[in-house]
Amino acid sequence: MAEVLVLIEHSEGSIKKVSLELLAMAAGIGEPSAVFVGPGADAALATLGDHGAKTVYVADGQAFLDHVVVPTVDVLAKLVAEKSPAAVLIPSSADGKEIAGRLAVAIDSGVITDAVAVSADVVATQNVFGGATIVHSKVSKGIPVITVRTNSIAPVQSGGSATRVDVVVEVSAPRVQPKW
Amino acid sequence: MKICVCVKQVPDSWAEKKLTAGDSTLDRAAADRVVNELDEYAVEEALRIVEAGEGEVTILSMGPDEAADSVRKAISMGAHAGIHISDPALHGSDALATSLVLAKALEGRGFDLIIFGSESTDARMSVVPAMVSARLGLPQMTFANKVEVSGSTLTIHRVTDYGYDEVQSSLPAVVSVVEKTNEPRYPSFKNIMAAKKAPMETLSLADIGLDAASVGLANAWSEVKDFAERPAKAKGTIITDEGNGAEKIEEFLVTQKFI
Repeated sequence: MAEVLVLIEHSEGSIKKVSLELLAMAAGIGEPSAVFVGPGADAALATLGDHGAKTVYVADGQAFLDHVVVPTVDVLAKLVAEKSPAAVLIPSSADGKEIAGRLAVAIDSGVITDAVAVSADVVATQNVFGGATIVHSKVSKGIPVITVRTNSIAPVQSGGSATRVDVVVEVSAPRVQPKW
Repeated sequence: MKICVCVKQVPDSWAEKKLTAGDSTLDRAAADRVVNELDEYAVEEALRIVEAGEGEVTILSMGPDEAADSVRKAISMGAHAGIHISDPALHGSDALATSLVLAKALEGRGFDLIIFGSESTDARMSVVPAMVSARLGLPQMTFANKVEVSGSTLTIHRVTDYGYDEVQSSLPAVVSVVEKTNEPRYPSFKNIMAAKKAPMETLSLADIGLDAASVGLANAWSEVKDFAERPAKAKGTIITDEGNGAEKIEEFLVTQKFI
């Protein structure tokens, strides 16, 4: 079964509920793998495993504290290239959407934001125009990058445990001298 | 200081928005077209920066022919020039294509700052500023509710769930501003007249060095399978308190995932 990468949103290791919801959603598509960026992974490992993550990819370092968004995108882009996951699920926060947008550019893949459900064949449901219209959409190029709203699905405790895999990336600083 | 503000023409914020039955794109004729409300904060911010020092503000928009009205409207707030990218092949473009077009149009023009509103009121994706920043390799200074330029250093307050982060970068940079960052001005009569004569470049895809195969509905990175109007709301649940009212309410909140 293909992996599904789930970006874990947390505040210094304390996991936000939406991350556990996304692990439950990922389990409906493939094998959930958590991506934990920044400090605090050790404390989070058991909870993530208990909520369905088989693997927890951990990237920690000063870069994640000093910069917004970009280092996380570098980690996800590297993992996508190595694992060819069935999808990448990201919480629909302000940061999450920007991470999704940049990741889509980096891996040349389609992006869908604010999904409330994602089916086994990776069709996303969105409520648009203030909830007046329900849309089903699918990424047609590359690996689907989907941001998911909080409270779309209930977290599921599986009683499992996760294996920690450390990821090292070269963080891409924006060009100081741009091309003009 | 050369600033470019990217604006989008959208259906009026308060109008009912619809998708087109045939190709699932936005029905642009269904409502009045206006400048995306959040982009007005971006224009205002650009004008303030230029007025505090010196420089020029250019308005850039990608959209059908009618979007030229929105470029003029944004210029009438006090900007100096406009660029409108319009091409039939752009119909149905997604965020990836839009960011590609904007990045191509911006390249080589020497802007110090590129400012966006933090999202459009129709698509509400909030991804285009980040995508343009990624495509141009410029610092991404987004979700700002305070923007300060000092020499070649840019400092913003990036709004977060818990407050704000102070973020610093070099120039040039890509900025997006959130709602209520400032108080957007109304166009003055003088500026409305000036906007009519302001220089406006209307460019096709070929003019910015892109071909039709990289944009538009047929080449989008994602597709809408189907859509439907939300069914009318069913009558609400009425709970009569028979000594167990609190439990019933709790049960309801749990099934609705509120708690």
